[in-house]
Amino acid sequence: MEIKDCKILIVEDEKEILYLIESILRKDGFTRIFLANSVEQALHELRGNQPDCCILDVMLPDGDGFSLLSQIRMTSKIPVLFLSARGEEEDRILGLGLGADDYIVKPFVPKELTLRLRAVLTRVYDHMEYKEQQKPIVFIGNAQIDFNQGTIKRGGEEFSMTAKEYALLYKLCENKNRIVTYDSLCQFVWGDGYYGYENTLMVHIRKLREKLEEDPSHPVHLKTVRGLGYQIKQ
Amino acid sequence: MRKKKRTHQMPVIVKMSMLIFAISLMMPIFNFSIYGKLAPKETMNGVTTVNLWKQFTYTPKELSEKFSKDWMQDKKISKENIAFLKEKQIFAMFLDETGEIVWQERVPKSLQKKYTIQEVAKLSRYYYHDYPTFTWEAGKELLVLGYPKDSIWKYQIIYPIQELQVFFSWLVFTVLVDFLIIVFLGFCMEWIHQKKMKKRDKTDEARAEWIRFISHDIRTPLTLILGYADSLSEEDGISTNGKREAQMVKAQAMRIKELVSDLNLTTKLEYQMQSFYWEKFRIAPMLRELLSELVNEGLLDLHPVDLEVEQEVENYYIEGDKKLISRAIYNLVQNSVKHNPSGCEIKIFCRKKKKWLQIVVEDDGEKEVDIKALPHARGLGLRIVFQVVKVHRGKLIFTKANPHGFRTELYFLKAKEKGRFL
Repeated sequence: MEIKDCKILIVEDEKEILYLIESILRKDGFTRIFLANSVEQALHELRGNQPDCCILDVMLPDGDGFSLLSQIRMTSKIPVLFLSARGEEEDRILGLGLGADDYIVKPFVPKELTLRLRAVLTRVYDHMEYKEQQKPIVFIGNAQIDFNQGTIKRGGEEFSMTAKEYALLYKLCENKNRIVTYDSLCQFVWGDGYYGYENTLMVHIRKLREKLEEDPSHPVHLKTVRGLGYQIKQ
Repeated sequence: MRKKKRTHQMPVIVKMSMLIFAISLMMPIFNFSIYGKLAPKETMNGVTTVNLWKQFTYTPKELSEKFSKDWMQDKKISKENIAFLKEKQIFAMFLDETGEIVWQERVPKSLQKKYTIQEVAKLSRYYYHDYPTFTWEAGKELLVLGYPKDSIWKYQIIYPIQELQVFFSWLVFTVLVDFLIIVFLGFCMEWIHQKKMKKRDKTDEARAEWIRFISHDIRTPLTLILGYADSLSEEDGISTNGKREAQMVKAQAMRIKELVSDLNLTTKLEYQMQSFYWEKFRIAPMLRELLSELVNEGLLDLHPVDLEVEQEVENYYIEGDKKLISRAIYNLVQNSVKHNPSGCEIKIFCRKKKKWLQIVVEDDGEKEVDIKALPHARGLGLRIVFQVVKVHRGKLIFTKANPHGFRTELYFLKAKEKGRFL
């Protein structure tokens, strides 16, 4: 099923926000959108139109989003995104603990909403697409990284990666152009008791640079961010 | 992780009872120690005397015994004893069976006479002609000692025993009633105190509710502003200038969002409605995490940040609410960004300072900073920093940076390492 063909139900008590969200979704390519103004209407729509996903406001005139979620969960596993004006930690955790898939606080940037919606829908409905997104082959500068085979090809040469190097590079590529802290990397590779591995980390990064970079001593792609961590730059 | 709610005050009644108990213990101890100074016996020349009588060296009884002994030996009084009488200004006489004075020393003229049986009776009572007198058997004679006027308080306590019992019963009763009165007062005070607390709680709750509703009411129109400004900034038919303006609107809406969030937080902290997630965490990874996120989000494009963590401090733990402390640091960074829109450098240090863990956030901004007007002059953001530090019992110092800029020093108590506790 194509993501944009999913049936989305929006439950929100403020009519203007209801229409705003509808317009955001339509601009993003969604066509089958259902609106509800209250718990009662929402239940009606759920029964009648069987939506594939639900965007749910926490505060509703005749009840609250959390109890509605419980009701939904009694009969259905459709993904649910919470929309809230509260933004308090407790609400956030409660929402996610009850079986909600994500939680957005108002006011939000429309792109954030659509990105998260798509991410949730892809995860649930489009396994093929989801697997595709794993993209086993990544290009960084002149190097070609094959995550399936665990190899780096550059300038006619092929290097294989150790398990640790693989994990590090994977994490860094997953967060391409973003800084990943020393701690995140160490924890990803060595687990929770990761304190004390910073030096080992440096060694592994050095090895990776030797495989990735033209000039390992002056890295262009796998950069150190002083005091914070590492970053893959494209 | 455990939640930590606002601590409750010990009820007044408990405090009161403890105070009464302490006083009731201390007072007799204090009193007796003073009596003790007056009362204990001292040996002097083989004769024991009480301190109370040190003015006269001997008690009347002791003196009487001395004199009687002397008299009964050889009907004479020693020179020492006579000298003693002179020194202490006491007079003495011996009366025979008929009431005649057979020996006397320093007896006032008005008392030199023959004593009738009635007068002898008077001698043994309280005072005779204002002299406190004491009688003592000395063989066949009667010794009479007369102390100086106004030197001794001499009265009998006569109390019918039955009445004494009644008196003691009343004493016990009044003590009990006093105690009950104090307890009752304690309860009253506690009740008033509780009412005050409830009232305060209610006001706090009302205020917090109000803020919550306001922030909710603000978020709705803000969502619309943000949503449509964003949509305009991407729409095809709009000019570049129009898009830029829409972006501005969007940025300002985000700013209001932050303000509302800050307002919420500061209210919760102020009225202690915040429940904390108290845990022990390492400070260094937290700082790295926070700053990386800020850089990744592009917030620090014009404000390069440089983090320096002392090696020693790498494994230091703080006990507290990680999110709040993170927020405080974020607010400080955000503050530097806001006040230096054209850009500046932000330095963050994390060091050990005696028993404290010091975090410094410093920028090299050009603008003059009025330290004295802080934290109100610079708004909610810094106020929250102040509140967070307070909740963690830390220290906060704002100063100018060298040569120019704004510098904040936060101090937190270092916690013992995980697993080393008890």
